Amino acid sequence: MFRLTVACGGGIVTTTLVTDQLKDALKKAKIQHRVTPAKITQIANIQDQDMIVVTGKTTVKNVNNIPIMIGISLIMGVGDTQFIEEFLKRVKEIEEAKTHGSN
Amino acid sequence: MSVSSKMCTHEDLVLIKLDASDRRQVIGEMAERVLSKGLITREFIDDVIEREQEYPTGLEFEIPIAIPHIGVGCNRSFLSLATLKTPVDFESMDGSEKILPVEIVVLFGITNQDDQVDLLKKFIFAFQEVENLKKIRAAGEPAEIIAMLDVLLDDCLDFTV
Repeated sequence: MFRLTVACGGGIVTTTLVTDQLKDALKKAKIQHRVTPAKITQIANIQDQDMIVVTGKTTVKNVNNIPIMIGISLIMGVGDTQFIEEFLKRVKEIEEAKTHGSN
Repeated sequence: MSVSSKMCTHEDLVLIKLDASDRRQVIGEMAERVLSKGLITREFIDDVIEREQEYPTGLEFEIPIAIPHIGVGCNRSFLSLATLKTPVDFESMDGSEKILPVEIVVLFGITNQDDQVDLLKKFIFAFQEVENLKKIRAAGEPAEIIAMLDVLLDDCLDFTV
């Protein structure tokens, strides 16, 4: 189960749009997933998640080393296909690592 | 889509060539109109201005736009649009602190984001197209913009307000 957090700046549009597109991509790739919303201010301390996608540039790092990807292209509609490709690639890498027990 | 999940809008909520010097004034003027239609509470106005400060909504399309919005203090989902007489500075949503000379502002409120995913998608896809933005910017009358929105946001708008 891929555990994804989508974090944005308290907006409704951004969380909804980004979550929707990422869920779609994961469904099509047949990857089981659970998506949790969060605010950008919370991402430093998030735990028990496999990845965080944020909708605004941020220099914050997560204390648990959870990878962070910046998904603003999903709102802009520019570079979104490439983002999704890169996203899925990393999701698969993370899931692989989990299965091989290196987590 | 049921009426309650449609966004209401009206010619009165469309402002052409709004003359304003800063984003607070733009949002304030638009919001007062929305308030006068009973679609929001007064708190909404302060909250949405505050939210724009903390979490800016400028989008750097070929024609920069801003989409200030919140989901609280909103009696019905609504959309208000303003084209600006001269560009007004808004900060970019991407967190880079870049200042954008925004020409079109869309102020809106959503009562239930889960129900309204399709509407939000149509909304953002419509504004991603520079041709749509050009036409909106060139409009001389609110009725023209309403007609365009009706097409772009196919079946998501409710004009009974």
